[in-house]
Amino acid sequence: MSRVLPDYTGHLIHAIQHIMLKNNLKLAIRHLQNSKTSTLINVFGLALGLAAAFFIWQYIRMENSYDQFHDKADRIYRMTLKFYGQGRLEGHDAMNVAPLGPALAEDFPEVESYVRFTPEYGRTVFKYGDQQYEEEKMYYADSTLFEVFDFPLIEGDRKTCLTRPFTTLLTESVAERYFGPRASWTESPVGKVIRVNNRGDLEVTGILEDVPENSHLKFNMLVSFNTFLVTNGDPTQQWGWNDFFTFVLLRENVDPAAFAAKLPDFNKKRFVEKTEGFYSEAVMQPLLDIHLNSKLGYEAEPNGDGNTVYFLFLIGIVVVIVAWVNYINLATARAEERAREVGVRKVIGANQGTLVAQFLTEAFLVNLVAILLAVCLVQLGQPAMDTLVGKTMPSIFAGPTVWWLLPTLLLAGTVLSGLYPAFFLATFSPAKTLKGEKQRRGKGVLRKGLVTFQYAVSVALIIGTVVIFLQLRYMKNQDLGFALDQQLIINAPTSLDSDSVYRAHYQSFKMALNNIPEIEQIGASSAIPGKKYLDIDAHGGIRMMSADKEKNVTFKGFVMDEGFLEVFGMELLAGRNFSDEMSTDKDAIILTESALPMLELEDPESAIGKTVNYQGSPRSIVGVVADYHHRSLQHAYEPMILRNSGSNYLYFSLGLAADNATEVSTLIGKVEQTWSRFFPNNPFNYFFLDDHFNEQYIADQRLGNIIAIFSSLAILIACLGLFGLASYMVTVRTKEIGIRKVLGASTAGLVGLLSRDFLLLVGIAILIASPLAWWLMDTWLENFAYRIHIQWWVFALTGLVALSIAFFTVSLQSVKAALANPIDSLKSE
Amino acid sequence: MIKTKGLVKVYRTDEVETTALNEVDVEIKQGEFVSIMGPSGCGKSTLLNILGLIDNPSGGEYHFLDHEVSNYSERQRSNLRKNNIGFIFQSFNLIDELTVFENVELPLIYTKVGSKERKERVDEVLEKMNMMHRRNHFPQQLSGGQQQRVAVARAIVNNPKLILADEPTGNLDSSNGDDVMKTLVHLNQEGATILMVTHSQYCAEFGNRIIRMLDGQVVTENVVQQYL
Ligand SMILES: Nc1ncnc2c1ncn2[C@@H]1O[C@H](COP(=O)(O)OP(=O)(O)OP(=O)(O)O)[C@@H](O)[C@H]1O
Ligand SMILES: [Mg+2]
Repeated sequence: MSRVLPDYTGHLIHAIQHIMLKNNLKLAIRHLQNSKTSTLINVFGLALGLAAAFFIWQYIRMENSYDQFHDKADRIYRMTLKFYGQGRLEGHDAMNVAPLGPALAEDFPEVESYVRFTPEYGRTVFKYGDQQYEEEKMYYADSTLFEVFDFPLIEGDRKTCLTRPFTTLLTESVAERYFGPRASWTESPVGKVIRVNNRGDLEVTGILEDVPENSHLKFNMLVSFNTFLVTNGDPTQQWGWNDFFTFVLLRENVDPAAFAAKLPDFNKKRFVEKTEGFYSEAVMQPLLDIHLNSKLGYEAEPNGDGNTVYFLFLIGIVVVIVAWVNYINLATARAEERAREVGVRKVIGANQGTLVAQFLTEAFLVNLVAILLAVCLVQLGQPAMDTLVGKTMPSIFAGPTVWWLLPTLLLAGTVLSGLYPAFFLATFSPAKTLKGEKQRRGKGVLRKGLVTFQYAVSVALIIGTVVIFLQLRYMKNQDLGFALDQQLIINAPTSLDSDSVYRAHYQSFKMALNNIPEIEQIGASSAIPGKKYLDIDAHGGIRMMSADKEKNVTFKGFVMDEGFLEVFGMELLAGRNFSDEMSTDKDAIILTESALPMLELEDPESAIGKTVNYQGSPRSIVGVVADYHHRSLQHAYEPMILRNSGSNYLYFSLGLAADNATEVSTLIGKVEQTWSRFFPNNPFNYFFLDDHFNEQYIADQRLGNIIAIFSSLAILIACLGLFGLASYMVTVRTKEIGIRKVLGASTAGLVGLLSRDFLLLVGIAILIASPLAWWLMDTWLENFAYRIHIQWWVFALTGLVALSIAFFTVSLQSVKAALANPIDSLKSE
Repeated sequence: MIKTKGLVKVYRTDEVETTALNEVDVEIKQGEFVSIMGPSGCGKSTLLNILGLIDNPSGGEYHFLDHEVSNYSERQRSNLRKNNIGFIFQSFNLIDELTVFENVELPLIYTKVGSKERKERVDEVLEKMNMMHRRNHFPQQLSGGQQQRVAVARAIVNNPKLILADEPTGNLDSSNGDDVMKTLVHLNQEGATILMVTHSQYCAEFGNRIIRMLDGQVVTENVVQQYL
């Protein structure tokens, strides 16, 4: 043992010395030129693999960089809220109650500061001069914002900009909408006053840079929390009103685990358990965990998925390995071809070190060119990749990473891909190679194993792609329980008016729209299927009038008028729709079917006419509708209570005639005209529901696209390798092919003979990959409440495709060989 | 059995055009044992390949067993070849990956002989070639003489009417060479027609006729004096 080691170290040192030699370089280049096909395959395959890995790396870096831009990111925690009903965990929300932050600061010296964010619900229309736009993502935030976070502030004072009521920070893009491009600002927007919803004013106290892409919380303006206290009522003593993202900053050197251990006592003290079994708990969640590992109720934005990122990371590594495997395979194959040459060299006096160096030099050159090519590919493909991912990813070549990344890859690639063939060849026995004897009969186990591995990876990826797209198709084709097509949705106007005035306004607008023949029904509501989930409200303290307090449950729900059910074509199982004619209907509710058991109601019919205690006020059940998918099919049906009271509508929904021949733009023009007659001070914003609903699947669609691309890449690289190996195999077996031909073998027979071995490997790869892919994808499908079950034909089809591709690839070589004139090969001896 | 008229073979490479056969007329009758001699590069192998239906001539006529085959397709030639012709090469051309038995079995597979019969016939010729004890060896485990005996076994396992041998003794020492020649003579006596290329006058004289070639043409044909 001890003798072997220094021996090989010696080779290595020798080898490295030789890499330096110009002579080696010249020889390497000549060799690479002599085997153009395999060199091209190597370089191209490696470049593709590396480029793919670079992209994945970029993506992963992007996903992992969320919220890192805050200096104190590792000391910031979000306080989330778990709530229990009848002793059972009923939900876990990202938002907490308003008094929590101050209470934590009061009870714990470990808390250096805290900040709360709460979103503005409903419409926000900004007006400055004659510029008027509907704005989104407005949050109220505590003045302590900059004690905790480091959102870059361009203008304004970090300490005071959010202290006074009726002050706001704007992000740069929003500011530019009203004050023109920043470069052309002659005076700062700070100090300017913006009119909001035609009823109040906000003074601009600062300008923020646009929130970075990699922030889990995205906003366009931040209004001082004191404004909220004035306009929305005081939540600071309410331990049940959970609309507030709450972040605490722990002091340096505070052990988060120790701090977390103190929370249960705090929770018991602060979240008073009014009814037995009904209580809440605040839970700590590291800021840096939010983007990839948090899927709670009421997240600020759809978060990323840690598993997906981890999975992509694996794919990235595997794709590079697959590419290196190609090099090893082809180089070893070529090594055998060169056995005789090596034999001669050895007899003449070359030692193993020289030969190893020779091979390493070749590997070095191939890797170098491949890396350079990969860098070019990444640069070229960047825009397409950004579109695919839906984010602008910072290039990995910008910044210092590149200085260690590329050399490391080059070194690793050279050693990994060059060492094995080098030693493999260098240890050939000259006596045997000169005699023309093959080295190690029947070997190539490694090579076969590697090909199998490559193909298994490709097959698994293809299966993954197929499953993702099948699931997407399934979700899109599923009956949603409401009509998705031909729905034109308008953002409802904001209004100062009292309920009755607003309703009257809306009624006359509705009448006017009724004159447009293409519009069949009109409804109004505070939420729309597929639209912002935050629009839905959740109310606790709901039970049957006759029931005890312990039976209290929490329901999701929203407000609608009588038109809503008609527009959306929702199915009434019992009772009736709301009616504008009946003034008592303002206290009426409609349940969805799955809400019945929660109220211990037997069936739809028996529910009608019963009265519900709705947070203290009586509401009578007038109807029960069939469950419908308010959210994507990833989520199960939610029990809901639909209400008729109030006028806080956010959407007007117009059901269009299915067969109308009117141009969309003409129709929208007509609607807009009517709109501006009735709501002149409100911007007209509309969308079509079907477009919108399917946007919920964008993340999965993207995942599908990404995996589709990488599986195509993997199979392309694997095919390149297969092609190279087949060409090698054909060269080695030329004589055999010639003999068989002379003896009467048919072309088809020869092609079969040459392809058989490869197809066998691919077959094994399919057998390995199928169960693995099944397991992975079945796990993925568990994310969906409504999911497909993977059918056997997915595997059969994928297998068939993989086999055909492999067969085609090998055929490119084998057919040529089978058609060649046997004389040439027989003479070559 | 074989009759050619004005047989021409021209090889075209990028720069040069080589006329390997220039108006060759030969006739070989059933049961003959004919040797072809001539200096290196005169076209012997080319002629043998064409007569063996491995290659097509560039011009002229070739009648093989009453077929005019000069314009036959690869498939047609292959059919005629596998049923009627056996080949023996200077470099044996055994398949390294197959055992002795499997090598000899190949022609029978391609003529779709059933496996039971294949086994019988292979064993029979291996016995005849005295190679039975080596039936499971690989070619590289055999000496040159043994390899050539396997090659002969493979050439005759299908009972071909015509056996073509291109310098069958070229890689062998004289005693092994003698063995091969004796086998060929024996096969000829059993009825096979044999056409053999050789550089050795000694070997050539085992046949009953010698065709001499020079620069792609047949110069003389003479009958060997059978002295026994
Ligand atoms: N595939 C080919 N392409 C081009 N020229 C060829 C080819 N095969 C043979 N030739 C040429 O045709 C001529 C005849 O070759 P052939 O092999 O028939 O000679 P030979 O008589 O068998 O020689 P040797 O005794 O050395 O085997 C030669 O000049 C050779 O260079
Ligand atoms: Mg010759």
